[in-house]
Amino acid sequence: MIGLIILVLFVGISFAAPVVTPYDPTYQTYISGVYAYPSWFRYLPNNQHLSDNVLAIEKPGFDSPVALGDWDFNITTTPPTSEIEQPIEITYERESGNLRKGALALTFLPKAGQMLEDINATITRTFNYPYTGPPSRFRGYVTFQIKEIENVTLKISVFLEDPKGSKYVMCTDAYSQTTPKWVSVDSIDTIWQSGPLWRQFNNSDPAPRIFRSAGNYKYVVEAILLPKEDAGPTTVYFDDLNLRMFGTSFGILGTDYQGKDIFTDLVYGARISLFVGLLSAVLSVVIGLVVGLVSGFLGSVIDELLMRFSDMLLVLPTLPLLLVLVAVLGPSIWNIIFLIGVMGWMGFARVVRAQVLSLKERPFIEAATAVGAGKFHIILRHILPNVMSLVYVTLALTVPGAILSEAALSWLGLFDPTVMSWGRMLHDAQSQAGGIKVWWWVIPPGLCIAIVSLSFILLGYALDEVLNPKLRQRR
Amino acid sequence: MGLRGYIMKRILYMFVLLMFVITLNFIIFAMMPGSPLERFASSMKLASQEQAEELLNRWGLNESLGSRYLKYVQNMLTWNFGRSFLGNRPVVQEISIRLSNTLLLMGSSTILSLVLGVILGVIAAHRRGGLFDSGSVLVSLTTYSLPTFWMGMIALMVFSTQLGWLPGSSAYPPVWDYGGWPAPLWEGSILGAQIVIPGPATIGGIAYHLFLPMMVLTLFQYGGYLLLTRATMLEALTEDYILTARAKGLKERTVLFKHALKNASLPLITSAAINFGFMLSGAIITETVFTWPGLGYWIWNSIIQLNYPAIQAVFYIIALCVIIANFIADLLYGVIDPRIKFG
Repeated sequence: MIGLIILVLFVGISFAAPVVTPYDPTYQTYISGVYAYPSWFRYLPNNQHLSDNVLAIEKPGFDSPVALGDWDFNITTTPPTSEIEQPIEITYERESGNLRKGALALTFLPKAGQMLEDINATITRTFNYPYTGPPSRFRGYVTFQIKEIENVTLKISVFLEDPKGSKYVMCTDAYSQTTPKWVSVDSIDTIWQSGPLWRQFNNSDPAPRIFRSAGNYKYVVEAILLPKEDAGPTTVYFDDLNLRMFGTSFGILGTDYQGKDIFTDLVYGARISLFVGLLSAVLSVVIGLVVGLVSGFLGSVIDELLMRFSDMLLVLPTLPLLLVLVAVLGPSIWNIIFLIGVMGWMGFARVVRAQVLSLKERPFIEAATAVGAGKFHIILRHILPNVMSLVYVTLALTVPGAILSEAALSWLGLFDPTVMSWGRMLHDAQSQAGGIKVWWWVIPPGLCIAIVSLSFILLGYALDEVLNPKLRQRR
Repeated sequence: MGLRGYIMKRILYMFVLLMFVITLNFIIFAMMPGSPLERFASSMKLASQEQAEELLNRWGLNESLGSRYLKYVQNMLTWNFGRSFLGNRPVVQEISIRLSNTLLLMGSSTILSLVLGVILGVIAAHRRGGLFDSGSVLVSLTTYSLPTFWMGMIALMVFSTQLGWLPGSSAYPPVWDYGGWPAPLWEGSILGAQIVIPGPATIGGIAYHLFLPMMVLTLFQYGGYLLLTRATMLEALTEDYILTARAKGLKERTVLFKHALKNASLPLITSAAINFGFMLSGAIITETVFTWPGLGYWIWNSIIQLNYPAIQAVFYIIALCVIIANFIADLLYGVIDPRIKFG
């Protein structure tokens, strides 16, 4: 009974996989920090320093004029001018966005008679970082297009400002030509350990230095224009200004070495493990059934031959043969299913054969032959239904073995690279540096394999009791 | 038929199996699509004609299939496995280096699990229906359905990484490779053979490394023996002679072990003998988890690196072990069960 419930739960999860999880584990990597703790860890004592993903800017694009209101603008010039005479205008352009509609337009129209050394325009966004510990890594984006530029040197830089006011430059570049398309700057990516931020901190991780406490941080995009003589009108469009921070904790079960969500892996792995286990068990049982029926019913020479053949196959060492054949034929999922299935029919064939031999002597078979039934007819219509109870029980008891075989194969490295399975998760955990310490990666897949196997065994025993009244104990 | 006829039949069957294994080996490695020989031959198209012919001649690849097969059989039977692709040492040498390690680990854990499983199984059968009985059955079922490598990984994680009590790899402290092994207890030669009796330091070091893998392996294997012993004991305990023995006033321990177990041990012994045969394939996974430098680990490495001579040799040896183990099991069966001796 318990087995049935557990099994239904797992099957349900496997079908619901695409709904339950928002990410596809094969392709999505780095959705959070590497080796992130499960997010419920944060509620345990002593773990207040863990952080989760923060989207600093909810809507990165400028979809409508209202979006401009989220940002603060500041324009200063050298020598200072009053507001009316400032040559810079920041407006919302409806038609010129990058991927979305709309962008922020920064226009510089030099006024006659103005001699300005430089003009400094900043676009600032203040956001709240609620965690006491630093994020695992963060990534800033700025996308811009220089529509027209004439005799002006434009320097665009992006930096972060912490609550105390220190500025950390993420990237900075100077331009004097127009850019025909949008330029997207992924200003730093701390995974790859490059960029001005890393150099600023002597090639060490900037995240803990910058985000030292919770509070209000600022994300600033700064455009400095240095007009030369005869400067002409200059327009720059900005879009998709974004800042994303990936935390040190994420999800129900954390992440693995590539930042993939482990819970997603688990759910997708359920599909594959169950699929492979069931299919190979079915294959084993079907082959065993056919061989047992034929051998038991047709008797004498065929029986002897088939049984000797199955004995010979029994002698072969399963795991090495499996390894060798998969290594030779290629680790695709169908090969694995086929090979596991072919390895396991022998025991069942013997049992079926014994049952058929005993059934053959029953009077109703004799009666059927007397009436003139052909051999196939007798096998299919009379013997097979009596053997079916054996089939169900053996099926239930063979599946755990198949699941374990598939897990063992995957764990040893012979897995289908396009699918994620539980054995493969364990393989990755073992082979990646530091994987063994990450208990939320190691324990769940194995636990799932064990629970599913156990549930099938319980199911098999229950079926056995139901279908075979002699085994029922008096309670 | 008697004992002798039984044995003769078994020996004949053993040879048939052996030939079957050799043939299968040959088929897999020589004739399957994507087999090593074909890959080798197809890469020969890049070489010049004479070189290709010369190599084919040297390796005997251009002979007929039949003569290749005969040569293969001869090689297998004389233990000539060729040279490994990596390191170019003879495969036999590579195997002999690692064999002792594997035997140490697998042998000790099998014996320990056998003893543990039998004793616990007897006790469970004795206290049938009690807490110990259902508890141990449940535990055995659970450990049986757990994936071995997973438990190994967890054991490594807990004992080796977190607690640091036990080492996580290799069969002896790696320092011994550089500083030399500790002094043996006695070293010399008897009748021309080198005998070394290891001293306490050596034994201690090896035991320290052996402990964790052996424990994990034992944990996994004892469940099967426990369940089997319990089942056969339950059947044996219902016999009349047990009642007589108890009525005679014998101690319960004597009744259980000297009378019931002896009669119940037949399936147990055959099962144990057969398990010995499968020991080596079980070693593959275990040794890989613990990076135990034995035959299993080497097999896995060879398969991953497609080191065909090694794979062939190992495959053959494992099958040979299984065949021999089955034969011994049948032999034991014939000797112990008087129905065969005298029937």
